[in-house]
Amino acid sequence: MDFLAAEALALALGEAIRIDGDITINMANLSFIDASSIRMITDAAASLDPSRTVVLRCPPAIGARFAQLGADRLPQVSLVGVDEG
Amino acid sequence: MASMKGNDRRPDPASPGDGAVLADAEAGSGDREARPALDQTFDSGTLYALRAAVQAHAIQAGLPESRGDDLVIAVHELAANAVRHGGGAGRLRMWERDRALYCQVDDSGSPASGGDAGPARPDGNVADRWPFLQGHGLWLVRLVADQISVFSGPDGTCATVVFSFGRDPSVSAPDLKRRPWLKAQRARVQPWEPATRPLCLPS
Repeated sequence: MDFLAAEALALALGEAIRIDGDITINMANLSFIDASSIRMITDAAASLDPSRTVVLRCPPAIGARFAQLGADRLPQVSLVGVDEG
Repeated sequence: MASMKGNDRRPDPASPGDGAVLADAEAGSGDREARPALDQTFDSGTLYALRAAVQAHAIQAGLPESRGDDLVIAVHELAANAVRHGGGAGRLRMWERDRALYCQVDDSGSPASGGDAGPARPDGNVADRWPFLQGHGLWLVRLVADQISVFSGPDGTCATVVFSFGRDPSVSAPDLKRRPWLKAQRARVQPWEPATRPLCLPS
């Protein structure tokens, strides 16, 4: 997933944010994600009330990219490792 | 593309020396360390193929898998900058020298700046429901690459990243299996030192 999917990603995140409750983003089958997409997801998570949780289910390599860009330091974010694809 | 070191000293993609080195690498002669060679143009529709080609060449060159992942995202971010902020297209050249892989992304020679860069340039405010900050691509490139050099001139921008075979990956495989994110959180951002000379193709 890269910046070319920004429009669809923004729409999906916007819809998920609009609905109350926790959010789970399943990226188990993702083999690549770029900085733009990571930032969009983490910035969306950061905009949430800390009482809400965004669960990021992703392979270790993808989770590491989120961590490199600071996602694991957000109180709203929970990184959950899953086996790749 | 944002430039971290702006000047007009840039390698000439069309110079005879460049072509000779690539030809030698492809033929397996000449500079014996100049392998493998990849020379591929790209635009917004071919970034996936570009990433696949870079990954394949990184594996062939013997770069560890996780370092190969670092290389792929570094090249992607540079190429994405060329697509989004350059002329909409560019050219990647990749070579091996002195126990390191060099990847050079050049957006010169692409469709003229300001022209139609093709479809799918979602630079607009697509995330207007929350503050969405762009511009972390180059930060990530600096994090994972051993060296980066960016030269901007009137014809565009040329960025080169270097990945040494000897360096540990930004995220190590054993740590990925244990606590994948913690290792990355501790990853140090290597202080970026401006290149003392352009990172040109070997000549």
